[in-house]
Amino acid sequence: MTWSKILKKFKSHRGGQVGLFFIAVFVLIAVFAPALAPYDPSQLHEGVLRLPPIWSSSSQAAFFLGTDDIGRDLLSRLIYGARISIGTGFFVVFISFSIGVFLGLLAGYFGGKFDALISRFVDILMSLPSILIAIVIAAILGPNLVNGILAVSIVALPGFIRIVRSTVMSEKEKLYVQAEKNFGAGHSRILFKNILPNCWGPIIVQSTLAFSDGILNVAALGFLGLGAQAPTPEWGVMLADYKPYMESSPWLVTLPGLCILIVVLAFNLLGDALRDILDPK
Amino acid sequence: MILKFGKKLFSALPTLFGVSLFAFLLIRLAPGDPVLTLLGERGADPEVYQQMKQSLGLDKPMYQQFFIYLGDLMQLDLGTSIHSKQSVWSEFISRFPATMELSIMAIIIAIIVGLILGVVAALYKGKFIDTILMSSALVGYSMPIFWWGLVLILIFSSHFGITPVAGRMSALYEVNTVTGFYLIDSWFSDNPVRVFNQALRHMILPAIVLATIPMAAIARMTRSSLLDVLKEDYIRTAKSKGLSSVYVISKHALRNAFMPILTVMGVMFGTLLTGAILTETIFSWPGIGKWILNAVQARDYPVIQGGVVLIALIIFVINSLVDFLYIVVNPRLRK
Amino acid sequence: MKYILIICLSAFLIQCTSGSKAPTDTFVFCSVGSPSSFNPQLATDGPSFNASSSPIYNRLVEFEHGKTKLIPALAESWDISEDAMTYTFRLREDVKFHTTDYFTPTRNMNADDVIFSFMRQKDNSHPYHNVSGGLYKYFESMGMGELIDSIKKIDEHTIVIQLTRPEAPFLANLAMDYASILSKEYADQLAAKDQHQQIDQQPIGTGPFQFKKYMKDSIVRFESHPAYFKGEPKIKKMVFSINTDASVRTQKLLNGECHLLNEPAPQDLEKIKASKQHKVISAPGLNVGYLAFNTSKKPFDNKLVRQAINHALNKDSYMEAIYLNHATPAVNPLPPTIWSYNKQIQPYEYNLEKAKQLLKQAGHEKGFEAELWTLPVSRPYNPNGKKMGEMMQADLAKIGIKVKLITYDWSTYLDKTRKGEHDMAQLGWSGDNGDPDNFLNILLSCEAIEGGNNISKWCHKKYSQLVQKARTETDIETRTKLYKQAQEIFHKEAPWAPIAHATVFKAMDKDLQGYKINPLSVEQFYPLFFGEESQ
Repeated sequence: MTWSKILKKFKSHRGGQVGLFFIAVFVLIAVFAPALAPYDPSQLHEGVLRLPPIWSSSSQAAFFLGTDDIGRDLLSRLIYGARISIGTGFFVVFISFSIGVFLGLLAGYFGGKFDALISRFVDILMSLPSILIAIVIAAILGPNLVNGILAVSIVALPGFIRIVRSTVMSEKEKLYVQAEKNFGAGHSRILFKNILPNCWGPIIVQSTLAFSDGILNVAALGFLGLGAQAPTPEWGVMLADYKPYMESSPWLVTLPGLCILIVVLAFNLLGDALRDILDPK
Repeated sequence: MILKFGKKLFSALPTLFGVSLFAFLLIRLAPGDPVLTLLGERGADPEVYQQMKQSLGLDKPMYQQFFIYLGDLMQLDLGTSIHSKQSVWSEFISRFPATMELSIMAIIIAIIVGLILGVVAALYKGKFIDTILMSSALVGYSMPIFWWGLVLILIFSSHFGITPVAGRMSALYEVNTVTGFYLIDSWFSDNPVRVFNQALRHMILPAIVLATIPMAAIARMTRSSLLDVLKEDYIRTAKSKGLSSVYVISKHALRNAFMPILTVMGVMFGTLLTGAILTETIFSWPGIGKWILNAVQARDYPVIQGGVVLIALIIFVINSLVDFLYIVVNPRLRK
Repeated sequence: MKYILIICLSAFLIQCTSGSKAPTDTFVFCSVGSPSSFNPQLATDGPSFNASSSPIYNRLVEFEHGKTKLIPALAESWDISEDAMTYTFRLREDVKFHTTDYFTPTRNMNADDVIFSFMRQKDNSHPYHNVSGGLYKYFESMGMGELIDSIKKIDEHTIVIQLTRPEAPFLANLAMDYASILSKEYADQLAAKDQHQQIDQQPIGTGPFQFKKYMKDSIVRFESHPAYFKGEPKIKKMVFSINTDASVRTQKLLNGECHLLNEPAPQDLEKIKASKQHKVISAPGLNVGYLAFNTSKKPFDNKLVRQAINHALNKDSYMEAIYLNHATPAVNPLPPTIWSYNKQIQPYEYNLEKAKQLLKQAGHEKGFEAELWTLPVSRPYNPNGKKMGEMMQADLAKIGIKVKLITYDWSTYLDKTRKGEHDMAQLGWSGDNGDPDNFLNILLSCEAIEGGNNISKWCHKKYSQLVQKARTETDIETRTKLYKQAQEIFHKEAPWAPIAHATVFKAMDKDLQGYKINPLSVEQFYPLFFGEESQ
């Protein structure tokens, strides 16, 4: 499929456009966080504890979305949170993509012992709820953002491995690969020049979905106290951090959660669109 | 049939072995000393520390620990919780019904509501209502349920005060355990109607939260598979005979559309248990999800090890049951 | 569609809400956690004591309800010898143990039960010593093993405890939870069946309530003890509803699902006060939250640096944000409610200029970098260590000290602070028996460095001598003088920045009567009953 064709299809896919738009917005916020945020996210403002957002009568214009329980500007924290969220999604995809695709290629192309070993590994990861594995790994490595990302990346591996493995298995039997082989092409040439380009459709779809899953799982770990730690302005951490004030200051838990939802939704919209376009079943 | 089932169980043994090795190894590599956690704020002298380490079997080399662990596992002995001093199995079994009851309730809600939403969306394909339904399904599918639970608590418990915030049952009432399912056990208590009502009220929010993602998934799948089926010839024939679309859908289309849904039910149960960990944490639901999370936080090794293996086993059994059900429902596969 | 369903269900639920008022013979206590054991000898945590020593057991002597004054309990009277080393206790003869479906006593409580209860903890070769882990943390940390030389039975209802040295707080120590009296008859029965550990899981005591059922992380059920020696309690059924989440407990109280909340979260107090069905009472707490400097590390070995930090911390802002004004800033390590508190000492006021000047004198004009460890758990003396750490970080930045915030899981945190790996660390203490020794000696003497509780690693010879001397002294005037001197030294040397003494709050149903705040953290349930406001 050519680029122009894809673009044409995408132009008629409204969901995908909405998703892409929101992703673009959040990426811009993440990149320009220092310029956009009115304050330093960890600056304590004296005398303004748990100030409500601007639409409430007792608010102050200086704090658009109000302040948190120790007087930090909520808007600034949410803006920096976008940075962390988009960043975690990116790293999760990067790590699980590189390792997953590599292992998938190995398993699919060479088969035999490699395949048995890698498939067993995938089986183990698939036989447990993903968040449980992430929880155990994060708890063991020690609760912080980097380890949370690692844990979630491990959980995201099977998706990549399985897709690549099955595509490779069907591709490698095809005539053109056999032909290349007969011409004496090396393994790496066949793998990367011939086979891999043929599975990029499903891989891109998988990457998009892994992005949203990654953001969601890292936030969940943060919420459970096993991911990023306060005072990091990570949305999941903020949710857990502000939970005690849920009733007296509901906006403190409502807004970070809403941010998570919108980002995840945006990636799922894009993922759906890409699946429709690139990977029609 | 049973033979097939047994064969399948046998083929899963290496995976289960892998899971137990995984659980064992990872936990041993963890920083943080379980003995110190137990000793708490007041501390203790090194002698007591050693004695305690010994009694927990943590003083032996790791490979020995693993073989001891594996040997016990063969005899279905999952060990004893460091904290409660009760056997892991008895802790598990006292919490399992809570998770099961919640999950079944959630699955029921997810299937019923999801099917209805999917059918309606398919019938009005391309119309406004279809767009609305499918957008909400995607929102539901993307939902961070740990936040969703808090929002529902905020609305229904804090604001309207109609649902309790946590737990399975008000402490004012006693439920005698018969089946472990409070919705059933409540009828054996002193005050059946009131206790049943309590049980239901405690369950409704967590069940909705847990049902949200599967519900959205089922709605999306029902819609797409129904649309596929509706294109098929025999449906067109039926329609052309002048049968009403409601009749056609309920009689022919739905049954066939249900197949792909059933296939993913097994996978869905895994998702459900993932959700259960978060849901149980938010609603203090005394099930296995919260149990294992507490164990992770308290570094209760035997519980984590045993719990992980047991959960893998449950998921496996349920997947196999769903496979089995699939074959029963779909006679073409019975050979 | 989903919402229609929700609305339908809600309608059904609302309909059923009306008229579901609770049964009034059942008292529900909102517990903050699961008891780790039903034997107070083995436990160290509040939830365990609330579920065991208070309802199920009694001690030889006890604290008067709501006070730290000692009153007779299982012992009706006692004599102390001239040299303060021999204590003779006369036991009550009418004390009955619980009769349950797992045990029926054939005799009343006597000297054998007392000896059994102490020897299990003291004697390594006692058949029950190693049961359930065999760790008697309180007994050990109070040094009772070495202090008690012997316990002898004179007759059925008289015992003599011989000490190895005089110890002023000894009687108060006997009123603490670990000194609860268990049934020897029950222990013997279990031993015969080889079910030793059952004694700690299905307890039998002499107390006002007897154990019925326990589901971990969920519920503990008790029934009244009809033959209780002070008379059957007015509450017939008592339930502990266990919830680790503070906002959940508040909600349960407000919904009428529980009647007493012993640790309401500061942020929920306003809401509870606003409810007409509930009341909130408060009292100054017997606790202290502090920031300890590791005096064995540079630059904290310099007392000028420690004083400078004391001047730089804006304690008033912590009172507002962390304690929501439900605490008093601390000056001394001792809470002001304990006798011998030194009122003469003036606190280090919040003064950045002075702080900078002191740093300059110490040769750290440009400041320095250091780690500050924040408390990983919520405690009454410090409800939110992380948040407080963030505020301290901001405060210290103003005098040029760059602080890195660090925390670990609770066990690692305790271990590492005891080993002295920190620069600065937050910690705190809640009093066990209302004696100054319980703060000044246990937390700050040279001896406490080895025990680990002195995480400042601060060893001041003069200070240690004073508190050790006060310990063996029986005259209260002399002890007061010694403790006051010790506090002066503490203030000048500043091994801690004392932060706060948190006010203790209790929230309860308006109809719950007979409750008094216990200065020691354990709750007393016996005097409670339901009734209209008496005035």
